Amino acid sequence: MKKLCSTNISAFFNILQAMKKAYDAGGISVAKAYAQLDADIESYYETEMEHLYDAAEFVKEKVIYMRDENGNFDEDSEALYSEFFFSSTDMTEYYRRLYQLYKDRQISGKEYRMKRCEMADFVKRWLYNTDCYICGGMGCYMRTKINHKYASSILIYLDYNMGCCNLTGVVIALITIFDAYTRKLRELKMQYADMPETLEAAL
Amino acid sequence: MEMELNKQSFYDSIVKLRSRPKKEREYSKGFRYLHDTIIVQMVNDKDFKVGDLDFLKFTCDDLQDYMEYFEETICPKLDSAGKLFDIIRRAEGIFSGKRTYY
Repeated sequence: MKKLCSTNISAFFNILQAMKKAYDAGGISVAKAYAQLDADIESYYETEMEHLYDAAEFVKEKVIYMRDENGNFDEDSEALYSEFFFSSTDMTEYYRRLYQLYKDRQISGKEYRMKRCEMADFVKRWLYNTDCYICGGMGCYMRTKINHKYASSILIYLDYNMGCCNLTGVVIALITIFDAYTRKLRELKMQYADMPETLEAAL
Repeated sequence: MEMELNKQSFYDSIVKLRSRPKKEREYSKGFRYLHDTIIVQMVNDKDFKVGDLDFLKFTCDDLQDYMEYFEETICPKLDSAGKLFDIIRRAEGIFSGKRTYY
């Protein structure tokens, strides 16, 4: 009872609400990613950033520092923003298969563009509705290339000076997006079963 | 400031769902599931993690309804209990015999 009295349950419920929305939209991995989360939100916020590094199959971070008048910087320089690169093999493979189907005329140009737009809209819908994006602390960009395993990607720029808030929303959005690519790829494979299985085989 | 909390009725007021007026609909299964899995567990000092929840057993509407119920009904009671625990903790410091006042 004492722990319940000292815990910010309302904040926990807000996160649970975001998780449930993502789960219903197909982001089933959200439940697994946050399985160890308990109602003690204060201690969770200390490790919130770590979930960002697990939001996709491949994650890379690059910190951009302020440069001096000579154009130099070091680790003591002020950090301006972080550039995060998120990708997965399923995301790249989805776009590769889609392109191959269009090239082989198994789908029309209209359907090809429609499927690409559908996913682009899905990605925008989830990322643009995060608190980080709304408060101006985050920028995002999507690439849909297919020339290597992680060629398709989502880039997120987090601006520390704008005070990025609620990174949990960004993590939940990313997990939902990559789950969607996995699901869409599975649907494509089932619908068009006779395509080369791997990116390497196709290239 | 006077504050009176009866242990058993306080516990019941959190664990047992307040009965709704007849013209309002009954609590849904999902609503009860959230209450039993989260709050009742925590009131009984059992550990709760998100992994204990089955996301298929409640809807977004159930969760929204429960959040409103929590804010209106349970939260004020927990705030009162929290204040009482604070008072007791501070009183322990004064009356524990560890400090001497002249």
